[in-house]
Amino acid sequence: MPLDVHNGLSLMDACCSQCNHKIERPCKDYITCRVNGPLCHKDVECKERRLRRISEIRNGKGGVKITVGMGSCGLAVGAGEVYHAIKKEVKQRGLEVSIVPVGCMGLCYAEPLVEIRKDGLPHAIYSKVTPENVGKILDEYLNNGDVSNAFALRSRTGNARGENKVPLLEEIDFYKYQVKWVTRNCGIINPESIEEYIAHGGYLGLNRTLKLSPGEVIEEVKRSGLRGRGGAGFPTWLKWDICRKAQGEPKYVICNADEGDPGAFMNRMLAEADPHRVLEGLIIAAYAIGATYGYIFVRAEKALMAERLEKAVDEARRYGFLGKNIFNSGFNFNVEVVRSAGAFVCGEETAMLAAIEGRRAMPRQRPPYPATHGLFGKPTTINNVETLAHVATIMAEGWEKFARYGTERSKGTKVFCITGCAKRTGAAEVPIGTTIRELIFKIAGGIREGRKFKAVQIGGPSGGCLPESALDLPIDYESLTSAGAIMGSGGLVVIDDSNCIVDVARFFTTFTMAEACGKCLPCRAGSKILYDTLSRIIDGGGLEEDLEVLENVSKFMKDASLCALGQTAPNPVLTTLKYFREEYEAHINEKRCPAKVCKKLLNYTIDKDVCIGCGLCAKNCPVEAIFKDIDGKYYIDAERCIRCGQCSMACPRGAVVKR
Amino acid sequence: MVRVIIDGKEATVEDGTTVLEAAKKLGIEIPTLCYFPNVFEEATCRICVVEDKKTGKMIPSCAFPVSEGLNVETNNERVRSDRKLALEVILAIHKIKCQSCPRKGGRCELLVLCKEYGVEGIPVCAECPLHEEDCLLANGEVCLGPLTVAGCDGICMHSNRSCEGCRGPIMRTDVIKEAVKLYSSHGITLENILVKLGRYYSSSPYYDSVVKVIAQFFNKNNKNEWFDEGDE
Amino acid sequence: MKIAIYKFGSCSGCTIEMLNLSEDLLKMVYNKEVEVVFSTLLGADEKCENYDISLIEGAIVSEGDVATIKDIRRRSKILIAMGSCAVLGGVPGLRRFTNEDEVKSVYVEDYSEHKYFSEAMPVSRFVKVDYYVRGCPMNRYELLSLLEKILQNVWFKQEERRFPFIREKTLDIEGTALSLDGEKCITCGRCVKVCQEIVSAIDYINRSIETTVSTPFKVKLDESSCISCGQCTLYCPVGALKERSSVSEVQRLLKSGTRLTAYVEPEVLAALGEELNFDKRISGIAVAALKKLGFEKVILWRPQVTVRMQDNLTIIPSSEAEAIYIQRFHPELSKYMIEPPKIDSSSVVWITSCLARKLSRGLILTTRELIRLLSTLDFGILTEKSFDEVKLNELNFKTNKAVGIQEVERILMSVNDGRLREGAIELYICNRGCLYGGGQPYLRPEITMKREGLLAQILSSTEEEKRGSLGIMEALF
Repeated sequence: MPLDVHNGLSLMDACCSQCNHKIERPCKDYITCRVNGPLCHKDVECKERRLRRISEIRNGKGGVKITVGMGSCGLAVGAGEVYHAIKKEVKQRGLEVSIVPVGCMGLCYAEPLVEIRKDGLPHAIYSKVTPENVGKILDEYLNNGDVSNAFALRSRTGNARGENKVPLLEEIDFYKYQVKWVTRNCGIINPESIEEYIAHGGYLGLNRTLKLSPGEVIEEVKRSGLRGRGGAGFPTWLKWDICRKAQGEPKYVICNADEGDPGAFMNRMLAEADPHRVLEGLIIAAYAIGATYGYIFVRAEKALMAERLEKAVDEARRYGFLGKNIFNSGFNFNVEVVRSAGAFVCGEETAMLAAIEGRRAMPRQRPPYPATHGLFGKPTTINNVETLAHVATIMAEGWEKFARYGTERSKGTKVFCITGCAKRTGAAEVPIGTTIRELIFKIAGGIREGRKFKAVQIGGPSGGCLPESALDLPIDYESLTSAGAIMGSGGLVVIDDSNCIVDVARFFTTFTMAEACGKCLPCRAGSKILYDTLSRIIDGGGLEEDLEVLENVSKFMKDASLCALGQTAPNPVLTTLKYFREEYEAHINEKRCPAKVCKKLLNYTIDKDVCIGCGLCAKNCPVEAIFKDIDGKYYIDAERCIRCGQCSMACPRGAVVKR
Repeated sequence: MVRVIIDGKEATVEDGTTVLEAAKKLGIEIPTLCYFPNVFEEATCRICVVEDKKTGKMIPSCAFPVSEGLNVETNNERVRSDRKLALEVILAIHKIKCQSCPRKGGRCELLVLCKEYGVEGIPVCAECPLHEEDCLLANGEVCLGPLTVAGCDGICMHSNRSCEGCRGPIMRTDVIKEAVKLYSSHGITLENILVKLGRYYSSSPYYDSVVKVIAQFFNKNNKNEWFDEGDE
Repeated sequence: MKIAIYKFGSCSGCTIEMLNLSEDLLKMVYNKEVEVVFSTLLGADEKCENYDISLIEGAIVSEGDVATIKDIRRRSKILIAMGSCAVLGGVPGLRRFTNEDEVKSVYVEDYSEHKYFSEAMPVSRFVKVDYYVRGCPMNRYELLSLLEKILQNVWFKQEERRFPFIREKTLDIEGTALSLDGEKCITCGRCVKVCQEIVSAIDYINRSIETTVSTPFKVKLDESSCISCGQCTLYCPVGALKERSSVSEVQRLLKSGTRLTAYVEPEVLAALGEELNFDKRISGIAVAALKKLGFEKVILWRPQVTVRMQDNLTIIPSSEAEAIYIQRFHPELSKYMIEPPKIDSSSVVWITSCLARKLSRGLILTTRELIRLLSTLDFGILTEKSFDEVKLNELNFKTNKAVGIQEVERILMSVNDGRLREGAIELYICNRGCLYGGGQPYLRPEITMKREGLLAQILSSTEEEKRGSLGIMEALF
């Protein structure tokens, strides 16, 4: 991804020869000097140049900035082509404007997103942009000042045409209920530029941290009430404190960027859109515990995330944010990005340590905990990407602003990803304690296309499926456990009535079965037994005792597994059994799938009252299972039928009935 | 020194002692399978799990160091039912091939555990002291050992007599399949088996259903239809 | 607990077996833990409306029986079916395969009066059975153990295992001296851990249920870094890793009357003693046992090597394992190495604690295999015999002994460094020596503890006490 270079002086460089700061002789005011400087010497022109530069970054060249959402979500639906189309159009028109690639705003359902701002006009966001309509958008906005086709506006200035017909971003349902605390820069800044991060207030947290003692930093995080956002919810300050007090040198910090839950992309979004915030948090964490070396452990499959983090680390190192005596504080710290070999279990702390050490990634029995005996036997702290982003923001803004949100025991905000059968899918940051109903029905707009809500899977494959009755539960670290689910890392998969719940349970079990590391007995064998039993139920071979087997084996896995992967793997099975037992029983006792999904349990028949004898069904049947009856109407031979559904799709009258 | 409570009894042990070792000091034996002191302490088999009364979690006693005030129960219903299921699961990944196993004849740790926790499904071959050429099948006798539920310590075989199947047959198809393979390789036919089987296991419809399964496997064997598709 | 014993179609053998528990049962009665309140055989008939435990012997063979068993069930908290008749139908069921008319002609009066069934049915066909004790007669110790569990309120549920074999692909790894049977492997990890300390020839591969133990790229053991030391076979809890057995061959030779001589190592005797819980008579008993099996001569032997006295370095591998170790990991030192000990004779069976010897020619039996050969012998009736020959000569020059992988590496490093340039080095790769060799009987923690204790005793005993003994073996007992 080529950087769109703003010509001229970079904020990161020395403004003139009078500047004190050098890499070999770092200056403790370097960070504040980028934006408020120059501080080491008085020069009106240098200051003006800095301010102009900041303005150019924030407002674009000549006051015009076009940003294109280039997160994985956008790229997947063609944002790359849109970006090139814009560059071409701009060049053709001979315009001098800034075209900036940015990360994902969370409005994944509306991608590709393009935002244009021009001095005097409202910032306009266009959604589902294609290379073809790029020209039209530029004409409308730049030439005619017309925003009537925009998806949303950030503000209203009173000078644009069609302004009042377009909603403000903060008014649309998806955005209204959000609090953009850690995701404030997502979709705003170029993630591959440390300069942009700084121009938007970045690294102020680190700046403040280096002027405090590690104890004071821990105290600030303690007051904020921040708990680990990876799912376990351990108080961040306590983890740091234990590690800080533990014996052993060197100490390590690790950023867990191995987000592996299917349907979860909170960390990916953050790291792709604002990687420096995460890195800042990591440096602060290292300072607090006294670590000298750090790792960012990234899932290799999330290649763009890995790339952005690597670039961020490189840039940070280049400008002295990493290395020896960082900004003359006496603090040494270096970071290495490690790409994992691809296993969900690597998200488990001790398995991750094994992977970084070069061994097979299998967890080990704890205690001792990584905080005292971690990487290479030394005290190690492992924090989630989102946790670190919070850390950076808390140190910059102050703990009170964070603690304002959330509940008594779970302070602050959390990013949730809503996927599945919802109208609007994407990532949303809300205060902890928001109810499931609010997330799904207000923010995500409810179920798509007039189908009905059935269940929601929260917390990835470790979580549980909750039914309608649980919709008003607040999502925090505690409230969901009594219902059988966990908040987890924040992924929600919405399930509607077109899905078979037994099939859903099997889907999640397939995942955990494939990802079991193989070390302990309950997980590797138990997940296979669950999978086999569920498959048999789906294929019509279910027996009465199967439900008991599912419950017993699930209980065994929960009790006896070595690590959290095995202990939480049976949650989808247990919760679906608890809340949707009738569906299981229908599969077993009646050999019927109420959602009409499980192929082997479906019976396709032709309603003779509706059939007009056109024979299209028979022509489309791949196994020749449909025959003409004496009365001229058609019938399906159930023995030969493979339940593919082709006849149903071919019938012009809808005479094929699925039961 | 750390104070712990195991099954209601108190003990004071050194820091770093595992729950297993602390229990041993109190005379409480916790069963293990994969554990071997100073050689292997990774807690992969989960047989040694005990219940931590305070947290409500199950912990592997061979690898868990004691902490002050730890209170565990080593033999209650939850612990025993978890151990029982662990054994059932182990037998689902361990093919029953007792007749040729080096550990048969009193050295099978799985059998000892299964007897204690009520898991049936290991054949008498596991208890039989007659190895290789001494095996009665190799001497042309119709021994029902490969089909019969273990638990008698192989008493008949100790006197060089073949197993008569008095403890009843094992109903698992994977065991019956292996048994039929074994019989066929020694030239023993279905008829030979049925003569002995009906002596103790005579009642219908149980007899008829197990005979059906055995006959099915003999049939497959005769037609060389041993496709390895797994067991029904 | 009030116990009732009921008898249906059976021989009373199970009740008599129960009485054979003698002291164990009497103790329970004296401690007022149990009380037999009803048994026709024992003449006990207290009028009790309800029982805590009913022990049922015999198959249900008539209509009357059905009514009775249902009544007993109603009045019993726990119902236990004892013996094959009650559990399966048993011998009375043979009537099914007979001619009913013939039977009727003999038992004509009883037949119609009692409305006999044409077959014998298990108790579980009519009522719920809480526990069962199998066997004909039942295994009385199983009943005892069951009663103890009931008295102590220990949770116990009898059930045939519910899951079929769930693995789809398994992997066998072959080798000359040993092999891994993938179907039996439960992936406990012991072998991997143990091998990591030595040569790391095996490790886990794959994930999830497919996880199994393998050599790199699934090559044969001989092509990997495996040195056939056999420590993995010693620790495998399920017999998936095992030596290539020579038991059948020896059995056949002995049966056909071939004249064989057994060469036995001292460590074998020591281990045998542990296994058979014997005291100091072990040597005599072992010889007697071998002779009973059919061996013509039994010789106690410490493996001999022929060494030419040289001025420069001589490396003496105690077995093929050490020889392969040097060839593979320190090839530059091969030139100093002599051949490991071997026996070249087709009438000798070498009984050894070392699994690697299986790589040499000839008939090799490990201690474990010997125990399998001896498992049918009754040691109580054997009279001690003495060895035909004892060849325990020490080498007539001084050697540096390196015992255990760490020591072996250390000493070889010192050769490489040039610090050690002359003399003889004996290499023993198994940690703590041949007593812990790969062919020794399966270990239990108690055995290792006892060994360590006794070895400590030997090391602290005087030279006088050590001299004249047969080394480790006698000292252990």
